[in-house]
Amino acid sequence: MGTGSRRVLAIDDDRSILELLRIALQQGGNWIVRCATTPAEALAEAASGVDLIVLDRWLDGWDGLALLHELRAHTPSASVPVVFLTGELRDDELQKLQAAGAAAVLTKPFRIAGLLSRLDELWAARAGREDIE
Amino acid sequence: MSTKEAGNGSILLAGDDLEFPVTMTSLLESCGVPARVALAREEASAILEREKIAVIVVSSRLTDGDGLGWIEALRGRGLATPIVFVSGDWMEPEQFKRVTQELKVTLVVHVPINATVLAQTLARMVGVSESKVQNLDTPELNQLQSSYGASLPEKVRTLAQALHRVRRQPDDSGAFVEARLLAHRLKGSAGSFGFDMVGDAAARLEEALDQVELKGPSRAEAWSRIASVLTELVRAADRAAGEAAQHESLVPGARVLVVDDDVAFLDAVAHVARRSVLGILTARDQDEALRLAQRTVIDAALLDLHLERGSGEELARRLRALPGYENLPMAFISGDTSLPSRIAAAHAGGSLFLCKPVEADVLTAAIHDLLALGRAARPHVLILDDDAVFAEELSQILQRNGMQVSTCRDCGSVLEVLSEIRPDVLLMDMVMPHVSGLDVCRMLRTTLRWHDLPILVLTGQTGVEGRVAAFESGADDYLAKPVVEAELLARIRVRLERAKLLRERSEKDPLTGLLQRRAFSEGFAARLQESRRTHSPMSMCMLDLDHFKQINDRFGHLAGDRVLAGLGKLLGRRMRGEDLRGRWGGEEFVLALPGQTSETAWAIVERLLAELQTMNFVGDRGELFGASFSAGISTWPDDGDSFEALLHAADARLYQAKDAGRGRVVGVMPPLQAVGA
Repeated sequence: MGTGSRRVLAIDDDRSILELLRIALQQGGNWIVRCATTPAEALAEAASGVDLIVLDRWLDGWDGLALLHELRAHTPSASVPVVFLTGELRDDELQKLQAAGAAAVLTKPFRIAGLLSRLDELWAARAGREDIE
Repeated sequence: MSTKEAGNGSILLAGDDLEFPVTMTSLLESCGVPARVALAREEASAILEREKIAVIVVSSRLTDGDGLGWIEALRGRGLATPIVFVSGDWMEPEQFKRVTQELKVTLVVHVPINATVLAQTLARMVGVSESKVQNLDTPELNQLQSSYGASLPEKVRTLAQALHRVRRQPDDSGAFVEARLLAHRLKGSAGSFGFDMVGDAAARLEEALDQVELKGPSRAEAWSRIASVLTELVRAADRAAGEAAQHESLVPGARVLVVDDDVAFLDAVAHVARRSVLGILTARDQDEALRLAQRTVIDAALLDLHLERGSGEELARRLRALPGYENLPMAFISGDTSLPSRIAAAHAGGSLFLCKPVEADVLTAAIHDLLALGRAARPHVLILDDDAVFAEELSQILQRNGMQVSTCRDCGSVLEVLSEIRPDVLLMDMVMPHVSGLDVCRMLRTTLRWHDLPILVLTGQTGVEGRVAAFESGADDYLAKPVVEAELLARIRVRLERAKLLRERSEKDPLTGLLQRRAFSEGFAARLQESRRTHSPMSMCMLDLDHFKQINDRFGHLAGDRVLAGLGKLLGRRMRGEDLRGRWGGEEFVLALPGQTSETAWAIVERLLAELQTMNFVGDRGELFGASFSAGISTWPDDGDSFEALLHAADARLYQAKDAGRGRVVGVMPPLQAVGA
């Protein structure tokens, strides 16, 4: 399972976080990492297909949930697992994100190790599912 | 089960609150720790029997009884797992003592809880966060973390300015949104980069800002809270930057590429690397090595001379041909220590030659030597300031950004220090005791040697008069205090860039790309001094293209220029970073080879000759022709103790070579055909 190249799209408007994600996922998780800081970039990067999406909850005035809907509707990522990064989990935020189809929600600050193991789990689950199909 | 081993264990959250475990589970996942949830004691006990639990978090109440009672029962059964107790009420000292001592509760937290902090504490107890993060200890990640840490004070300053604006203009909602966004981002990013203190402080600042937004009577209180949290944040950011700088000095971001098909040797290198915290990249063949060199920046390379596929020499050539690696410091390793091997290594640009098997300390020393060679190529900044603390601060910023820094506190000795270290830029304070910085500036401008040294003046006076005075006394630029890091770097870089261009223009011969006469002489003097100090030999070579006048006459002047440029390129590409190559004039060239005896220098130049003879040049009418040179070699100390004496000896041998029929190299010994053959 999960041998071939695995592609992740990281979307965050904070460039330092994006750079951290890029290097950590590339070197620590063997992911092929694509990065986007704006919704337009995200849609363009997702157009050719990705295996997983890491998405910031709020992007400089943009709601990450709305972007998720756009991604699902306009790119071949309808069934791609999405991991949300969020600054806080107030009120029913977690339920809301899960209802929108988030495979996991991680709060910022996140631990690189935690993120990597979560992505690995999602990748393994996905690969397993494809094996059955 | 020991707690150490529980690195992979889960955290059990036991309590009757429905909300708390949901948030905590997600937070713990962020930290890489799995969590289990139980509402009742019975359910929790079942999980404890079934699974490996590293820490138990117990609330005051569970659905089927109170938390403390359950802890008592667990300890009664002899369970030693660490327990964190979440207390609903403030615990009195007596009770606290009982809980921690008798029930051996590791930690007591009171509601309301800061969930983020608790999650991180738990992750630390399990030992996950630290150890796992270190598994990702790649040079790039370290560097990224360090540079992020270094940028924290600046980020906090920007945040402080934004807060200031909010305070002054309470009705400016834009300013408020900006300040809150900055705090929010800092909270999210600082912790993710491992700077928890900064992240925590930023989180508290964000909370306090929300209080301000509520207006009303609590506002003033919120502002005083913001002020105190901000002070804390500034301190934490400074500390983080200090840590980052320290980390960087341990791992100077230096990366050494080691290429060998001998796996045992690579293992030994990796071992040394672990002890010396250097970034070592290993490759087993040419392609892998070239890929690595293109993907990341490499500061030095250690190559096996005899790779199974393709030679180390060839790899060295291909590495040096990559953009940015023209002067890559290199060492060769070989089991074959014969003279031809050593000559091949020097010819290919190896500054050092190591014999296998290589002892660990020899290897470490070699790597450090190589990196020192690379450092010598980094820009050197001299800071002249009597304020040691400030100078140190500047010095750290510049060092973090890849510059070499020296400091001088006494204006009186500035000329000596300048001659000794020959900096690329001088950064000086305008106001110093006893003497004005402007006078030092003026004095330097009247000294021919420092006529074009870039000088940046630091000044507290930003008024027009101060700036004009600085420029009038010969400063190239000025910087206002307090110094903003980004501005300092930008201004210094611009000066360095300009100076480099000017220097290349004045020092390098445009046709051959080699040093001009004056620059060569200066460089030679420095290397000769070094040889005297270390008592190691140094050779000099004068070489002259054969029949150059005839080439010009027969094939045209452009063809002649192509030969000059071709030889210039050959000399520039072969040989080592510390060797000097110059165009002495016309078709005459001169080389300095530190560390080479007359024997090895002879063989190296002989190989250059052989390589030139294989090259084809094109005449103005398309005809192909070849070229050769004659050369004479002299060596310190045998042939003299001064530049002039060595030049004279080399020149005399060059004439011997011409007389003997050209196309040959003459050294101190009779021509050594036997070795070259």
